[in-house]
Amino acid sequence: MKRKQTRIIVGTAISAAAIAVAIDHTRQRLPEPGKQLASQEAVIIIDEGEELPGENNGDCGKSVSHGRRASPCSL
Amino acid sequence: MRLLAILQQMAAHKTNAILKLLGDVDHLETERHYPGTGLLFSADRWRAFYHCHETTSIHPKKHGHFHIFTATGNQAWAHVAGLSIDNEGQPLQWFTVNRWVTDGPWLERDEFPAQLKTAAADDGEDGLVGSWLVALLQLYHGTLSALLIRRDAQIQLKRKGRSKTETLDDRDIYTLSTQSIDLQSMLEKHFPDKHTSTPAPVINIASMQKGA
Repeated sequence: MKRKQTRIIVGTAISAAAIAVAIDHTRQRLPEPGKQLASQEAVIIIDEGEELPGENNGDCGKSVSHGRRASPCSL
Repeated sequence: MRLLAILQQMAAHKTNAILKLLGDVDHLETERHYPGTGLLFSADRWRAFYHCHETTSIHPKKHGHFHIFTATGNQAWAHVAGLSIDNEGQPLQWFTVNRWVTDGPWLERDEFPAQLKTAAADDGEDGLVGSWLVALLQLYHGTLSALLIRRDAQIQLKRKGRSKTETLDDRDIYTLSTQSIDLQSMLEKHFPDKHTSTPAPVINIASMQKGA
């Protein structure tokens, strides 16, 4: 009985150590996430005398309501 | 225990599930899914992806999170839970989110035990990351069941006279339930019951310390 208890204690200690070592060795720094790379930049060509974007006070200059937020974690 | 064996395999190569998943990705981009098509595992009955958001997390150590889905037939996927990961690739917490966040159905809590059995059918073809996720789902099945119960209770609480559908679509409700976890403690709690006198770990410790 005593021998069995000793085996259990030793076994438990070994298991705890194995877990600690395994987890410790998997602690590896992850790369810092950066902003999503823009796939294409918009180029706006404005002819002389033409209004700059944002100067127009008509409907197009109104702030756009984005409505409902898109689902950020969909498949 | 299978999870320990998986961790030991990762430990031997000084890696973790997220580094394995990212592979040779040069630039980790916020909002992008890794892998792009999702990670299928357990005979394609389960699916997950990892991503990081641009917005700062409430948890200072959080790096990103997995979203885990399960197949519910007719090519439909139901969201089960999210798993936050810290800066060193360790699981931080399980969480559930409101339904609009994942834009699809979520797994009903009563269906979770049966679905989890499909994850148990890991035939060794999942790869290390898939097997790691399966092992975590199994280890934390009790925690996850409780998490889903709290998720449903939160939705009931937040209805305030509205329909359930309206509440599930409320953009002001994001996270519904969370549970912080400590993998090491959890494993230590479970391990002695099953492997009290197994001599194998002695060999693993020695080989890891030498080869690490």
